Amino acid sequence: MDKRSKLSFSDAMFSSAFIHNPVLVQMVGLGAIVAVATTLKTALLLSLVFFPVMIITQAIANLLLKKVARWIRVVLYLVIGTAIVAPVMFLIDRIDPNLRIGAGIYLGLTAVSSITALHCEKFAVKTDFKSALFDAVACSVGYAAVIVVVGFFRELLGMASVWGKPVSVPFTFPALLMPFGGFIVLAFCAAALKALINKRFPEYSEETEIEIKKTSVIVSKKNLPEEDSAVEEQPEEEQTEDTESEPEAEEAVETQVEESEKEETKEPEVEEAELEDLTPMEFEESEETHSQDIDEIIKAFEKREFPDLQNNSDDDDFGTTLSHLFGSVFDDTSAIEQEISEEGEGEK
Amino acid sequence: MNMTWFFDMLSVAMYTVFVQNLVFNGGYASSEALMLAKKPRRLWMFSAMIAFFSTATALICRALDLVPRISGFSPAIHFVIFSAVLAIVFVITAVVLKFALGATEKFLGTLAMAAINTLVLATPFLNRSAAYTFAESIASGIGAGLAFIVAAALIRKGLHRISQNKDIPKAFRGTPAAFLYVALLSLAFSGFSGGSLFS
Repeated sequence: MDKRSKLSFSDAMFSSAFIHNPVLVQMVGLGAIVAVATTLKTALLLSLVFFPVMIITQAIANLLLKKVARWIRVVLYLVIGTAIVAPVMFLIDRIDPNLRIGAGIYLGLTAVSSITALHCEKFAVKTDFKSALFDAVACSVGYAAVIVVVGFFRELLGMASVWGKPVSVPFTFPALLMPFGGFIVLAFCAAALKALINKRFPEYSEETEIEIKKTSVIVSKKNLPEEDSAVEEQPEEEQTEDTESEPEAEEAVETQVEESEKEETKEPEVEEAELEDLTPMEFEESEETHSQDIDEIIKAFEKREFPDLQNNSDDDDFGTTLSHLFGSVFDDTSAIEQEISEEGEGEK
Repeated sequence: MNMTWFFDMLSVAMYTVFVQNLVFNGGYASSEALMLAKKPRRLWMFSAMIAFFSTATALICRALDLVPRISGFSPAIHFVIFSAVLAIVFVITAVVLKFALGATEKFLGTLAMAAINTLVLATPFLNRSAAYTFAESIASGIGAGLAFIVAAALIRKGLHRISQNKDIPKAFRGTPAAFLYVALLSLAFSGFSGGSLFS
């Protein structure tokens, strides 16, 4: 999905509700579904509350928050969500307190749904108002469809009832009412959606895959295996000597090494064989071998430059997904640590 | 020296991590755990942030609940108060980090995602319903962060293996398999709380 393109309503429905369903494909907004969507009534309530939260938040984000810093935007989503959910909770308490009790604290937690934050950051602040609105509606429909289906099946198979009225079923499985059951039903819904996409829209199959990075371990350069150090010292002989003359600087250089690759560097043939088995996306990531990472980081450190940190534009793709947001912690803390150490040295 | 408080804290933290595991048994921040499991480099930092915010928010909310007038408010008002506390704690932390330590916008964006999520906001509610003391609230907050680490690490391990398994039917590859794996973990953790599958 092009984050900046203009969408028609049907495009938005197809993309945000179906192909990139927030729950079954993007795996966000799971909490309420697995924990309390155990009856059709509760599921419907949660989905109805989600609609205004999503639509109003995305509309405000699009109209007013485009130029606001990301960290302020995220807290404003909480404020907007709370302003919408609190009166609803108050109203439901007056109408039917049991309904609110059934939804538990998840009714309130709709205000901090990860779907809202994800779609506002991914879409609303980067597109025009109409597209943002279409995306919000489509996303809400996608969420509502899943939570209602999950609620229906869990009530039917877990309690042998529908909308609170007993129905005859050959067997019941009360474990479906536990969060475990929620995940199971979600798994089958996701598989059904995936099978449908694979059959009817095979060109979108790859977009429903999940991407898994190899385990990364952050280690100090001096703790690297000798072979690794040798590999990086050869091409950067002079620079490495400089680094060695500054033991405290050496300690500050943190390099990221893929755990499994520690062994693989000793046997390059094995690494090649493994890479061939990976999907294109994974292969692309794996091309960034740790020795390349180390070289880049050492060079950057010596030049006092951190290219990743300088790329702070809101226009980049970094802010478009939660995973990208997660991807910044190490780099940024390094920057903070570096600044602190530089300040400390300055004071000395 | 009376160490009761310490053991109370320890038992609450253990309870939060294993018995009540908020991610597997409550579904709180399960989306974040799944996301982080896919890209695990930031796990410790993100979990530490969650532990900090859940502890700080839970403590302040606990203190406010000691005021009789506030403790008598309806759930809707409580929700507004707890959300406001979380927002204020986050803003103060972010401002301190930005102006005192020069934190970048990217870092603060990540901090925001760690602070504003269901796990952090749920912790004061759960502490309130369990009538935890101050010490227990601290333990509960730290336990929330630890529970997140445990969950994300376990999910991460499973996702890695699932991604290498070529025998999974095509329709179940990816998110369906991930959901099934998390379901099994959830089932395992619910065993600690003594839940019954068949009644």
